Amino acid sequence: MALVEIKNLHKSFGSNHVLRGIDFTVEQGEVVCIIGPSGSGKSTLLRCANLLEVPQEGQVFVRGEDITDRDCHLDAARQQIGMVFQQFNLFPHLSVLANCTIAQTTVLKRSKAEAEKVARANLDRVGLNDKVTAYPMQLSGGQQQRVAIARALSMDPALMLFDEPTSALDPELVGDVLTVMRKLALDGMTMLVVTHEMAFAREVADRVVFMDGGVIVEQGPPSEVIGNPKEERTRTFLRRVLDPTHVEPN
Amino acid sequence: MATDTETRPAQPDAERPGAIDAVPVRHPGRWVAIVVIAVLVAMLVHLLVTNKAFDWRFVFQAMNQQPVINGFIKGTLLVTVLSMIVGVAGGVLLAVMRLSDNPILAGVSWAFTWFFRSVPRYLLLFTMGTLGVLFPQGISFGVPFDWKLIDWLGLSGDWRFLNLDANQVFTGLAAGVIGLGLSEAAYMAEIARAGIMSVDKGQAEAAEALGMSSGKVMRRVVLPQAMRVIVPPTGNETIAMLKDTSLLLAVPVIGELFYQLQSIGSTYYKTFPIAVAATLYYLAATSVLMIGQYFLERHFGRGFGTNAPRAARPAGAGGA
Repeated sequence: MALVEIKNLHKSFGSNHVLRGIDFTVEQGEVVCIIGPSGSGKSTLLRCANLLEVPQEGQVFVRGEDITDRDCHLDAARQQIGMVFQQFNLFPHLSVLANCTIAQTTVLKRSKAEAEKVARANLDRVGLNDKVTAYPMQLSGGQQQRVAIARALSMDPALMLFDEPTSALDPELVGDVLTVMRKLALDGMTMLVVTHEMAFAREVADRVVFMDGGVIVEQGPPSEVIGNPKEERTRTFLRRVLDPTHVEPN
Repeated sequence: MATDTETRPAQPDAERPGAIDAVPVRHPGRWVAIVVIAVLVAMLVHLLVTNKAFDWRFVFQAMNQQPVINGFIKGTLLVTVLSMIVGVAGGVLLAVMRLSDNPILAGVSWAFTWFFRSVPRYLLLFTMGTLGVLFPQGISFGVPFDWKLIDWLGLSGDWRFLNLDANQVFTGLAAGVIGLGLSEAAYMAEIARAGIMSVDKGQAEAAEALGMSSGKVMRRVVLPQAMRVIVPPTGNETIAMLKDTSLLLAVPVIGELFYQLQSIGSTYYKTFPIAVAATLYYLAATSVLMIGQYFLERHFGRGFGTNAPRAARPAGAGGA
């Protein structure tokens, strides 16, 4: 059974039809990168996977359970899905350690000591065990994003969603975050990553999904989708991303 | 690409301009203002010390009377604290209702705010003192419309567990606290709503994505951050409330600071020293509140901007 299965997903914001029938699965242990031009619906697809956006039509199954069903216990389903945001969204009023323990103690009902142990282990994993007492605003963007990853990991999720995790970072800080994500992928975490980092997708992804205009245009191993795309739209996009100075012949 | 500052040390010393003979900027207007203010302060001190109408001995005697002290503690301080508890709790509840997706909750909250903001506090307190008229049989807590239900089912007795005499509820300090508290809740609702809306939407999303229920998201993530915006105007509201306790006379409550002082003043025909005595009390209490506000603001401002220890900030890249 696929870890996540999305069936015929449609989502509109007003008259703007953002997702136009997406069928899509993520298998256990798979790293899937979603690429595509801005406005193609890739972030919306990701946000539908834990129902931060409620689709108008279609279903999202997590481990076979339909989370779009009204009777589904959504909070319980979300515990299995960690999410990392473009803008980090750390809780600024809490220390780094408390950011990583608050959901463990309030949602998973872990004891404070156990939650702190888990949090410290995950902060160690992202290389920030010396920042436990700091507040998020005292950290650089790259450090904040790594705390956000540790916060999500502390819930022991089965799947991690990354919504353009490096897009808000200064270029020299991107590497640290990608290193953590690469390590996570090697550890066997199931990951669904919306990204503009083509080198990362090519290296780490098991599968690359190219989206444009609210549909999946093509998907497959990175060597095919990025290395040898079949569709003209994919080729146009990749030309623009990989060589920003390139001018389309007209 | 070399910048200006990088090239400068390379230049020979001879080309550098000599030391600047700095002259402090002159502020003649400032000196004029200081002189004017000094003269005005001297006049005020002279007035306070020499004018017989102040009658300082009488002022301090009046302030020391037991009914006045009791009025200050019960009528002013206690009512302020209780009314603000009702007001803040009610205001946050109203704000959460107002921001909910449920149109009925939002509507009720809007109507409450509309009513209690529209009625002057003096009139509201006056009305509170007379509300006992509405409930001649007292106020009961239990199953609503129980007499109808009991009638339908052919039973007897009643389904109430607590009966209060309405004329006792709507009198004295209780009426004052209910009136001031409800009125305050209407104002606090707007303040709390602004605070909640000031918290970035991403905060609630991050908390929801961690599996927190909407109640927990509000209590553990949104409200603590909203407090940073809510506390300063709430301090203002508390200070205003302290002064509005002098309106308790409308209920009427006589165990209150200003009424007690006034009655002393009218007994001895000394109204002006009484005004001075009341002013001193309110000044003292307000000063204490302002200190409390400072510490509250510091507590809820942690993790934000100026209070964060800058030394802990890393110098450059995110390498730890």
